[in-house]
Amino acid sequence: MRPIQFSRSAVRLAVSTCVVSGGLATLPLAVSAKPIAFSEAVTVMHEREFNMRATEVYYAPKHWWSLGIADMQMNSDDKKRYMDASFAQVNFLVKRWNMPNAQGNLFASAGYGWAYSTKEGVMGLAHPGHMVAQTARYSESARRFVLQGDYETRQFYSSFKMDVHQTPLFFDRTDTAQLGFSPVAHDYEDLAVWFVAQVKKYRGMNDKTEAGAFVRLFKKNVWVEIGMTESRKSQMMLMINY
Amino acid sequence: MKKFTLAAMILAAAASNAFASSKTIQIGLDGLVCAFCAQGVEKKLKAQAATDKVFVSIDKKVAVVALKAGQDIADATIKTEITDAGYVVKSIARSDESFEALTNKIKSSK
Repeated sequence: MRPIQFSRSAVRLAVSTCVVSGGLATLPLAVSAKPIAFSEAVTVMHEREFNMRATEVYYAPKHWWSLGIADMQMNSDDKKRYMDASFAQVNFLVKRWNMPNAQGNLFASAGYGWAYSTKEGVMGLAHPGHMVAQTARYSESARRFVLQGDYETRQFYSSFKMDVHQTPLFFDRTDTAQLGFSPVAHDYEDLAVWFVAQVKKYRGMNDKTEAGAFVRLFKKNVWVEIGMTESRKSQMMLMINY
Repeated sequence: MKKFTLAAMILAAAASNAFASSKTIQIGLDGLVCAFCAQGVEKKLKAQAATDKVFVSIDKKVAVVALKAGQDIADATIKTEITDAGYVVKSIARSDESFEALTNKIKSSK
């Protein structure tokens, strides 16, 4: 059995990414990114939205599972609620359908970690007889559950994702659906350009539904996605596999 | 005597060609639709000791392996490695064509 091997550059990048992300606002995993790229891959992902940021690093011993760490930070739109959470996470490829001209995947993930949360405007007793609005701070265990699936051909892409974060105080769920199209049936050596439409429904930290449009650039082991939501907020995602 | 020696040399050359190992292996695949898919297949095939070079085409749904001189990769190993990468092997064909000739043929085919 071949021992697990990491290239030094991949390990350095993964560690430095984690260290940097520790102080950054981080966010749930991008919908379009798969938590498992291929067997013995190290996957590094970073995503930024208006009020969320996330950095995740995973290693896949086999093509059907991976494990790693996810560091994420999210704010409510009114900035009155904030959560900074880190998870140890395991991801499973529940089912893959390999067809001559298409592939479908179903993934499930579970994470356990710790979250630091704040909530403004919590009524508290400043001194006897006087209730005032305060900022409550919580440090508590956190859990994450993700279910995602996709179906793609060389020119068509579709995906959905349900991402749940739970602490004793907070419950946050984000559901995302994407449809993508590439005008050209790209090959491995080509730069693939995709146009992606997205709808996201937020519940918990924020309660809203928002559409967005993105351009995805994809070549060999690098994936970059940049776009904007209907409220003119930019989003980006970077994923690299080693 | 000279004719016999010449005939023996010709026969020896023909025999060595008959037992020469293939230069390339062409592997047909299902599920190859994106660059990450191809990267996974390429990485698995490159990790084989007998592999010299690898070419993967999403368009033609094939991977081509150039073998090192005198070496080979068993079909069972190919199937195991590709399956471990998460894909399905549809066909395996060995050839004496050079890697460059075979990959050029694949790229130019419709």
